[in-house]
Amino acid sequence: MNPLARKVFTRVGTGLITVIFAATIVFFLARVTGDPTHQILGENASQEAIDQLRNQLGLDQSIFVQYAEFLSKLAVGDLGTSLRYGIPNIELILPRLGNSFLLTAVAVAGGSAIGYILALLGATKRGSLWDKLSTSIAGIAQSIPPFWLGLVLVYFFALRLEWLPSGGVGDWTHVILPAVAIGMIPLAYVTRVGRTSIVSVLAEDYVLAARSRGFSERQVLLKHVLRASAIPVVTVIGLLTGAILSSTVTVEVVFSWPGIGSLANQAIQGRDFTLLQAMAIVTAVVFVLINFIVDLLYEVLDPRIRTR
Amino acid sequence: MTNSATPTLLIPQTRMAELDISSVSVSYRNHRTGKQQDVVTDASLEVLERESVALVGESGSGKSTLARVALGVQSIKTGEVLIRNQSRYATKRVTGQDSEVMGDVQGVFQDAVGSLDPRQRIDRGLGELRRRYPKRTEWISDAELMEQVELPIDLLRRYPGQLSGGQAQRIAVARALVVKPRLIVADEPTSALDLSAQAQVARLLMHLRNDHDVALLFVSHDLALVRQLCDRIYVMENGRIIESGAIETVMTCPQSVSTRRLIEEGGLHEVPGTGMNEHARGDTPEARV
Repeated sequence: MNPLARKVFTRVGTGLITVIFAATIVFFLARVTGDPTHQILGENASQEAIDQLRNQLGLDQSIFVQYAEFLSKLAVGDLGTSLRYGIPNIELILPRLGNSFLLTAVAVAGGSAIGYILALLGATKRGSLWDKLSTSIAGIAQSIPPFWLGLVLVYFFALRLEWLPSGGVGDWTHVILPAVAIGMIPLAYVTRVGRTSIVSVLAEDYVLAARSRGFSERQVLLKHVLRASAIPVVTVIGLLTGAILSSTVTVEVVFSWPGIGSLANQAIQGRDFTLLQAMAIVTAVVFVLINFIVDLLYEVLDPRIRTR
Repeated sequence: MTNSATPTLLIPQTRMAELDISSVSVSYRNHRTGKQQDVVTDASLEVLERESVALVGESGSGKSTLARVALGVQSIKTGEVLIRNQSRYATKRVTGQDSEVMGDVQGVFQDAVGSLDPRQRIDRGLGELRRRYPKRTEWISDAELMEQVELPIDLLRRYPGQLSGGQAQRIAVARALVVKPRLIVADEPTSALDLSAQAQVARLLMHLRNDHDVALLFVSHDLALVRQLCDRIYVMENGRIIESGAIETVMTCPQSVSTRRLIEEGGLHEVPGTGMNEHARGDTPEARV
């Protein structure tokens, strides 16, 4: 097997194992935390109703039979049917996932870009006013809760100034305010991690050597510093993307944004355990994909990784 | 303190100064006290065309700082640095906008592997220099360059981390040579290498000096090597140049205590593999590679 095929095979295999492992944990957790039928029907439900629902959900079978059935359905992409809505979970999740992706992508891209510019300013002008300003902005961005910032943004830009819509999904203007609220998280982390990384690369001998060879500061930064310093930043962005994608419920509620976070909220309130189970599996798949993209970016940024 | 046999008497007046550092002072901010602290004080140094000049001194004497001044990567507090009579800078850091001046002076550093971008293949690094100096680098192909530094051509496709210290140092010399510099500032280029690699790099530097007419500012504390490679010497102590002159004069009749101590500690052993005894000079035919 050639190295590229082996690499792809290993990555896909590792990803599948991760998803199966996550699905297994989700499956058993849903069952060890109590009988879902009690949670769905309530404490006063009759035994007959409970038995009927247990039979309907297959919960009256042994746990191993349930698990085998669960895995066989998962293998063909069947994530079950929502107890509350009565339609396949995947049909509920995918449109919401698309919305969440859009919001997360805009927030992470914008926040990270601004964060990296601030990091570059701080690192290349260490100790200056720019450095202090970028560090202060990162500190403020990190300490503001996104839902609170969301409320403030809605108050000023939607209600007072009437420049932007206060919520919902529509044209590109709808994504700005929630993206700004969420984007403070990557902005803060990328500024801090990026600054530290750039400062450390700037102190490397090969940067001094590049300067001494007659390259301008801009050329040195573009060709040697940015690429080398981007690896920890990409790691942070990858981790944050996954975390933001699956944890923006408060911001989604503030902006009435129909994303995966608000769907999870509805599933919890509706005791829709099959939907929650499906969402957990989809989230695991998303994390695997993000890690795969991050690994690819590592290879682009540091070609030595390809040669190992 | 200057020896009686001054450099200007040895070198014909028609030779232009490749590097003329005059009355340069460099200071760093002491992070503990917050005060500026001089690391180089009122230093003057000159390297003429095709001349090899040594800059020696104990650790912390300021010689590497002065080398960085010559390379244009160190801010100076006062003084002037001229490259072929053109001002390199007054008191500001050079940013490389003046292509010709920056190409004239190239550096070779102590940590050879560290001085090469670990993410950049050797041929890509050379390509980057060729794009930066398209005219200066057209005189030689990559293959010929590798031949000059006695390395196999297949090393071009490697990353710096895949090279030995000696190979990396010869690649560093190749990267300096490709620009056809008039002056190479070599900051302790052999001190991190084993004996065999030291000899290879020393031979290479002699080759550059003899066959490519490159002037050399050689920063070192290895006086045996300095004696074989250089025409003149500057001795630094506590940020000041305390002695200078023709190499044989300073070595045989040192005027300062510090120089005497350096000579005693440095010894006069032969550098293995250079084909030169302790009194041989680099301009003898048998010394050429």
